Amino acid sequence: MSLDSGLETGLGSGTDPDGNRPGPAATHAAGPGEHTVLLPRISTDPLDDLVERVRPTLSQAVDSLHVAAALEADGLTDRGARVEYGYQDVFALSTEVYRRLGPRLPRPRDVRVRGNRSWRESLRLISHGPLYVLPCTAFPAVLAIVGRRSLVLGLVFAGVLGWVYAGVASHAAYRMLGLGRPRAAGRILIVATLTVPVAGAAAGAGLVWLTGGGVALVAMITCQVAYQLTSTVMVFYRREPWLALVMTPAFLIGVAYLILGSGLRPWSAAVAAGCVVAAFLLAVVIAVRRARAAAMAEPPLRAALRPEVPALVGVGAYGLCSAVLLLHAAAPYLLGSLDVAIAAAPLILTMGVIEWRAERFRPQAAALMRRVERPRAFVRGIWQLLARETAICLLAPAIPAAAMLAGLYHLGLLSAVGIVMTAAHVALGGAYLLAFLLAGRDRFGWLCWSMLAAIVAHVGIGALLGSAPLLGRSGPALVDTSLYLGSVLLLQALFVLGLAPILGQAVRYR
Amino acid sequence: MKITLVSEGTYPYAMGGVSIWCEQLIKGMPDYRWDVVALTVDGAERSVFPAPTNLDKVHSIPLWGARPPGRALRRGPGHRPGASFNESYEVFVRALVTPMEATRSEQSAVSRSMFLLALRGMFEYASDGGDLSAALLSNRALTMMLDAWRDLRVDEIGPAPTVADAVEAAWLIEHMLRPLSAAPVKADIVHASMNGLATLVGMTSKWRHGTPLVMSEHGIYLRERYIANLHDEASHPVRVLVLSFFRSLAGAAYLITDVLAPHSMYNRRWQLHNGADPDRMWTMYNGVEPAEFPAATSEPALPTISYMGRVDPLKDLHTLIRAFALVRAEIPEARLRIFGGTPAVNRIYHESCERLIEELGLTGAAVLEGRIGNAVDAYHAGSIVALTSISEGFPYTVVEAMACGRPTVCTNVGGVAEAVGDTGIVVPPRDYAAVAEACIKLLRDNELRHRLGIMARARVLEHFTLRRSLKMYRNVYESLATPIRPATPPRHLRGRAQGRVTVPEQRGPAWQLQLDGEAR
Repeated sequence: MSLDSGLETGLGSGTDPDGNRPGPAATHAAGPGEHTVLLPRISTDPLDDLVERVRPTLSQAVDSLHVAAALEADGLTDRGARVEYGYQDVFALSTEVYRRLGPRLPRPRDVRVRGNRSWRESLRLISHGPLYVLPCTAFPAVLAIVGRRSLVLGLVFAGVLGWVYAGVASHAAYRMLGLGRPRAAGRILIVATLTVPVAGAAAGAGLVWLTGGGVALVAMITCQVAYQLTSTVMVFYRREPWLALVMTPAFLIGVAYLILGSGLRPWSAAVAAGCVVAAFLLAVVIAVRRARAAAMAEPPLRAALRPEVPALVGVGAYGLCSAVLLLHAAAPYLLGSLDVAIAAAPLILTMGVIEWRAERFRPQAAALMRRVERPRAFVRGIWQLLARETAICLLAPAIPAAAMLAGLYHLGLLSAVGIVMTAAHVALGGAYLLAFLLAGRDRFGWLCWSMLAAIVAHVGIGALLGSAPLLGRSGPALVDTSLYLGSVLLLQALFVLGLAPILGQAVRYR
Repeated sequence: MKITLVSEGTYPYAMGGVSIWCEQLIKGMPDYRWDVVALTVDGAERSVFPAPTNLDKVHSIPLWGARPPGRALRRGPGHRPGASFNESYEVFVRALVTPMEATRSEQSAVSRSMFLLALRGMFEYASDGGDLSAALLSNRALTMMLDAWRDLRVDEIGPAPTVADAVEAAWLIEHMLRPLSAAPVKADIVHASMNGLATLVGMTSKWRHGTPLVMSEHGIYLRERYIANLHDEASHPVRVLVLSFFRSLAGAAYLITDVLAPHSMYNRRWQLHNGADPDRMWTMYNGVEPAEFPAATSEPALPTISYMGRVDPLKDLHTLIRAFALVRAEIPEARLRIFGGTPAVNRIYHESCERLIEELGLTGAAVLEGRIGNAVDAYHAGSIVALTSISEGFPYTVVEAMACGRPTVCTNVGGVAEAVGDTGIVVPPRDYAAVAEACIKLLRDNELRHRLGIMARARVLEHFTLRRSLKMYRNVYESLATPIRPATPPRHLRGRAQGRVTVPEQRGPAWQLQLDGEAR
């Protein structure tokens, strides 16, 4: 078919946009429409061919030298530039090619969509709170076995020891992983996990020797620190569901004991201990397998850890201060009324949410950095982000706290002291977010001094006002708990002060 | 005499042509004392060369690890950079952002000078105890970078750079400028084994102690940065800033260098184009010790193409493998033996070569042999030796193969054609059909192959011996290090130079060098 006949056919068979064929009369009346004819431009310049040939590779070239380098790598020589294209040399030719390539078309901006995987990751982090609470149902049975005083002493003692141990081990392990040394990370976790029961047992024996309590207290401390390290390993290797699965029998039988009574007491304690041992062994196996699976050769562990020692000392001190901050205020009331004793529960339950928001802070800051075109706008945005995230971390424990307080009120167990203590722990939620952000920037010195200042303010002012249970001044509990709430607010302010010079530095979110 | 040799990513921590040359230089001049300053990744690298007895010390300047050694910060970490940094950085960043017109234009010459001054300003800032790394990454510096882009690139289409772009570019540049914060080296001569970051070490020594700077260029540093960047996924502003940094740094280094030694005539073109002064340039070819590369006395039983070198995208082994597929179609008994190790970063490329061999049905005929103990065995294993790189300086592998009496088939990049002359066949890069045709011709024509092999060794003995290469460099060192009569500067040029650095000691002008009668 010739082009002419095609055109004729096309005109004769033309349809309107609705697909209706116009009648012959209509076509005749309207006549042939006028339209611009665009013929393809056929260049006889060999340089145009060259430009089109290199366009896919060089459309993003930054200057003419970039073009020259690419053309030479493709075989073009000065002689070729002269003979084939009539230019003095490759450089002169490249200047013209770069010009003819025209303006650079921008690449589409990288749009990042949150997929299912990131939501799973969020849920994984949020689940940490309930995981920390899971073994707590065993405590009533343990309480009945070891007694109230020993339980409190054991909880405080094991809490501090486990907190420091787990904090240092996980920091060192994450650091090694960041340096591409998974074997070293695994070895650190194995050593920490295997040694912590020994350390716990020794510390427990010392405590028993000093304060009395018996073998059951030693066993309780050992199990508690072992569980803290076990959960650290499981979280490190993202095996939280396994941990939950292994600990579920302990949780269920603990609940059954609370409902059915003393007949299940030995079972509750024994099953909890058995679950901890099973989870512990599982964690060791996972760490050993993951460390062995690392294929690359790595430097000796001691040499790798040597530069990390100052940071690890900081992490240890930070862990110690955190534990003391939380426990020094709660410990005197654990033997007292229920509403004050369980004031920390909403915070512990929602610690996963706080970890999740701390984890999401950096990606959000990086996304902000990709949006704004001025550092000043970035600084403004990052402070707004901090305010929003702090509010979320206050709200997260506040909701279960409100529910808990309502329940206690309904049961007639709520006191003003309990309300203030719960509020202090809710405020700690915001403080922990700020602490995580400071720790992420290795500001361990500031963290420690701030927490010490808060503790000193709480205890010191309490002593002046005659209400410092830790120092044996048993004044009004409301004064002490109010001072604790005030000290937590002071802590928040100090943490914000610590973040002030570094939060807005854009380079930290690269 | 004490000479400090500066390397980046090469001697003594990695094998390769430049590393071999560095070792040749140190061992070849046992009457000089040597230090080496190596720009490294994190300082944890292990030497792969035994230390020559006249090598006193190897200083490492990690670009990506801990801070450079030997310089304490006298201003605290919270110290805000003042005018001494800001003024220099303003000039620096404007030189990077200004669109390049023509490298030989007056504007480019001015830009190179300004860039050099800005580098010196930042060096002075670091010398006075300022934290250059922190200053370069501060929000203030990012703002200056983004402002400069807005002012000087008004014609750019597309989205303006974001803070993330500025951070990325500043972060890369901060790492690359770390040599400015290291303590300047003390030596009679600083010799940069390549352009680029290595020259920063020479600059600081010159500014502080007036030490003469010699620069060798085996390949063209800038050209290789451009090629490496072709497939970079970074955003356009980041690529502009980083490549402009390399271009400006290369140009500034040509300005400050006392003697520039391109290792092939080909290199001169790029150097001259980027502002090098022809009066301070001498072409120095690499040389080999003929006794270490004896002529082969026999040929392999099967027609064999040999390759000797690392497995690297720049060597374009895909072209060689594709060419070999065509060769095998004509000469079914032909073999391709690829000798050389694979750096860790090139594992994916190594696997792609293996895949290509399999896809083309060459398994068993084309073999990646891996590292070989003695390169001579690799050359002797081939009837001919091939090199199909897309970028080269003046490759040892070609000269060594020629010394072994093997004709070569090479691509026309860098100084390859100058090395081969008429003793082999040079074809365009990436043209595997041309490579195949040349290989078939040489493998089939016994008389031609033998004749070219004899000519190749003769050419090496005449032009590319180690003795000749060392003699030329010795002349450079002696001429630069020997003070000549102090000339009284014109009255209007007397006094101290601007800045806080004393006027360097007067030394022999470069034009007085006598380099074995070598043409400039």
